[in-house]
Amino acid sequence: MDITGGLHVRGLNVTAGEPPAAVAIASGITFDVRPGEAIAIVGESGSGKSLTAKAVLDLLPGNLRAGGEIVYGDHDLGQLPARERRRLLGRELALVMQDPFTMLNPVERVGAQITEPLEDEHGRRLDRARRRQEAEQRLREVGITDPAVVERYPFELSGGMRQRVGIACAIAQRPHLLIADEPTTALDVTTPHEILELLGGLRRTRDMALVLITHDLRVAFSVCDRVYVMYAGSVVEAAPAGELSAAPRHPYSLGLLLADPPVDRRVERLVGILGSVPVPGGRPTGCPFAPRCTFAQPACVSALPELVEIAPGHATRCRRIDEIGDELARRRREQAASAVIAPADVAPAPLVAASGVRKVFAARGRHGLPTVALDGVDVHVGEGESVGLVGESGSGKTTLGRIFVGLEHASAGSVAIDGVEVAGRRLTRADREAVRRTVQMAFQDPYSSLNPARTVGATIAEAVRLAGNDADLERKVTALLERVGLPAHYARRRPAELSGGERQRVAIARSLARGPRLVVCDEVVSALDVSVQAQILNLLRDLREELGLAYLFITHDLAVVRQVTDRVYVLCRGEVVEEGPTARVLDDPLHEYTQRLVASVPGATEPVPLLEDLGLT
Amino acid sequence: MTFRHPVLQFTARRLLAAALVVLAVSALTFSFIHLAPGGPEQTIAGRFATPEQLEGIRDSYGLDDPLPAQYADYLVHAVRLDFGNSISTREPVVTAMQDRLGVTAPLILGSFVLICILGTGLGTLAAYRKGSGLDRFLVGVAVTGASAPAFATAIILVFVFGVQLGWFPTFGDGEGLADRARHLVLPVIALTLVGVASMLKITRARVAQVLQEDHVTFARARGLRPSYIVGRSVLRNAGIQVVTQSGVILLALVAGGVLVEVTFGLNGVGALFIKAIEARDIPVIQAVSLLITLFIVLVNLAVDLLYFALDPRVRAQPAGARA
Repeated sequence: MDITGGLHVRGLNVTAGEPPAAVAIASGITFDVRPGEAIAIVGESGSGKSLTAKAVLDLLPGNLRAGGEIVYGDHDLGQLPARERRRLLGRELALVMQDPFTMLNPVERVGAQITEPLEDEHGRRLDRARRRQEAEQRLREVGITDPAVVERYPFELSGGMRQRVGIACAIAQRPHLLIADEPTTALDVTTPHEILELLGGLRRTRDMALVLITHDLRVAFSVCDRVYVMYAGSVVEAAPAGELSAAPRHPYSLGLLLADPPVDRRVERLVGILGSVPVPGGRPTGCPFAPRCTFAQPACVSALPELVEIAPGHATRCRRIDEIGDELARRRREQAASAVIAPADVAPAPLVAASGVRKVFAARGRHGLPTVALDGVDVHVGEGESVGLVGESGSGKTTLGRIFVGLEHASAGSVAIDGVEVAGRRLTRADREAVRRTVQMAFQDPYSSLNPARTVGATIAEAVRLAGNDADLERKVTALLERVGLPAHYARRRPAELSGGERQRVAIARSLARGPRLVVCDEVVSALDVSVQAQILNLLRDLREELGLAYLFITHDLAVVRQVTDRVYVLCRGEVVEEGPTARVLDDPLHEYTQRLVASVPGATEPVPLLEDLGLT
Repeated sequence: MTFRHPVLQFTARRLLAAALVVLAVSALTFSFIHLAPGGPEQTIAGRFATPEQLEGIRDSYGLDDPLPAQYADYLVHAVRLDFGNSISTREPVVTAMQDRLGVTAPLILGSFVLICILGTGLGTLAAYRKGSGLDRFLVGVAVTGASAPAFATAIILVFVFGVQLGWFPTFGDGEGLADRARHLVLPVIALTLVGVASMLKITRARVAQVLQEDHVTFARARGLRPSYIVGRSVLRNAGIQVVTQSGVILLALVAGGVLVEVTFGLNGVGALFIKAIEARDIPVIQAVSLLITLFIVLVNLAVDLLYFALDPRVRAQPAGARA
């Protein structure tokens, strides 16, 4: 097979259902991957990027259809018999999926999974010894040097290890093109960096082309040569990575860049994109971004603009680019150069304090060992102060948050909430009420933290009633909704009718219902798209200013910590390894673990390139 | 007992528990039979027996001894596989059971094997073709089969294949191996039809679910052989629920088997059990109920051990298995 041609996708459409009721998921997708090249397809959830990848590999679920032209090497894949097309999978085209916890067969040993498709020179299965030897060698290629891993089952490995095993499986037959669908999204803080390095390294040593599908522009820029930005089922901009970063030529690309909170400095205000991504079937007729675009004109709404090449290798689907191009570039420059905002340097009166807190979870099952989640942790949050709690999964950060709101109880140590000691004794009813008036919690997943059967109004009203005041319920609910930026009529809606960002606003409104002084925010933005994440971070900053709230911000995302906290604690395996003012900890980490965390943020060390640097002025 | 391996430990614990269950059930059946009014002496002596005759019989069978003593006596014999003689036929109980098992074991096990093969096979096929005409047909057959009780299916089979077409005998066990097999065809079909429905449904639902899972998509994306994907990715992962269901089905076959044996006039263990209850034939009742208890306990243990074989996650944490 001639693979010198690479992969060329022209006018790819993915539709759900049968015509005439078919709904377009992705339409007119066009992209090229030259041999050995790395491209990124970037988009928020609902952009159709993952299904585009599945369409290329002929792995669409049964109810979806693909149309258009997919040429790989000298084959038009659409014309190939299904059997021959399947033969290309794994051998020429390969896929790594997002979730390492579900991607591997849970009941098969790692070695067997890797070597299953391997054959010897005569097309026969390898013998036992050869398989073992190959498995060990394939694991070494992805950075796993312990040969015992061959005998392990996936559930015995960490997420990062599983993702490495997944990559070893995907590239076992030496494919020439690897599609990686959000390969780092489900991983812990320090591992994405390692996985991206691995993919980049494999690409070079194997001369393998890479298609990286991601929602994170920083990830795309750190690995890829060219970037395609997808929005609501269309490619809206295609450009070399450096050019896109310095001078985006579509308002949506700019919006994504501006919404992404920088990790190296605190900006005065994040710029979110208004509204949210439209669902397939509910997309506008003209430019899909027009309803959220500040540059939109009536002409934008009438018809979908073409993807037009405006410079070599740089194309945009914005019809007004000639008029607004300079303005887009100016805004990008402005943000990149925006001043560092130093957080207020005050020592407020303590509101909650944990000292020497230890939490041990009893052993699960007869043979399990007890888990030490927290081991002698000292954390305090002052009145009106925003404090970050950073760590990987298993570091105990969520457990500590839950102890502050009374969802868990410390096994040892002292926890004082506004002067009330809550650890190691039975609380009186009055004590419990006092704790709940002081501390409330907002959870990570806005899809599961709201009762789907109740209206938003009923959910918030319930929380207001718990505060012990039934008078003027409706007015209070309206006030809370407005406080989080939602119109009053949302009270009649149910969670299913809201977008992820709107749900998170409701969850925040609920946590405010009792007028708390501290809100424990447990990964409140990590399930949200970048553009929406910026809106919520801004909202949290505003609420703090207006209400004098204190936050305990539990997160794994250092950029988020930088934007919303004054002080930060770094938690590692149940112990605080470093604490201090956020700017100091992130700019000049002392502990080796913090250094590793900071170093693992993609693109953290590379400043945004300016147009002058690229010679494009 | 010091078994180091968690699976051995688990098995040892379960065997001990199984022994206790068997003991408890045998004690319960024993006391129920003996506490009920109208003892077995009536059956032996007939309706016109004099009180003296009854007294003699009670004496010779030891029926007037205290109940615990009788139970202890029964246990001592039972562990030596001596269940005494049937009161109505005078035949040793063990011999009677051996004869009857020659009919019942092929009936139950034959149906079970057919159910497993057809149920998982057709269920997998239906899941792969979900929404197609074939799928709808199979599900339709499954619903009909599951809704009809075994004896009703049996009567229809007797009428169509026995009476109308005359292909198969409809009554009795037959003589010799070939004839016995011919006599078992319709009973096995009747039992299979009922069981296959529930096996098909659970397999179809579970396989359809696994087919949606990431690891199957990933296996396809790697271009792995379809036979590997069906066997190792799909069925192995669907396995736990299917094995659980097969245990339930096997035990249901014991109950369904009794009805089918009676309908087809087979002299199996079920028919023996029913006759023994009618005749208050205590040794037979006790022996058969002990056999059924043992069977239930062993099937459950086998199901649990199969979990270990199928799923390494259960193996690592056996305490989490169904206790």
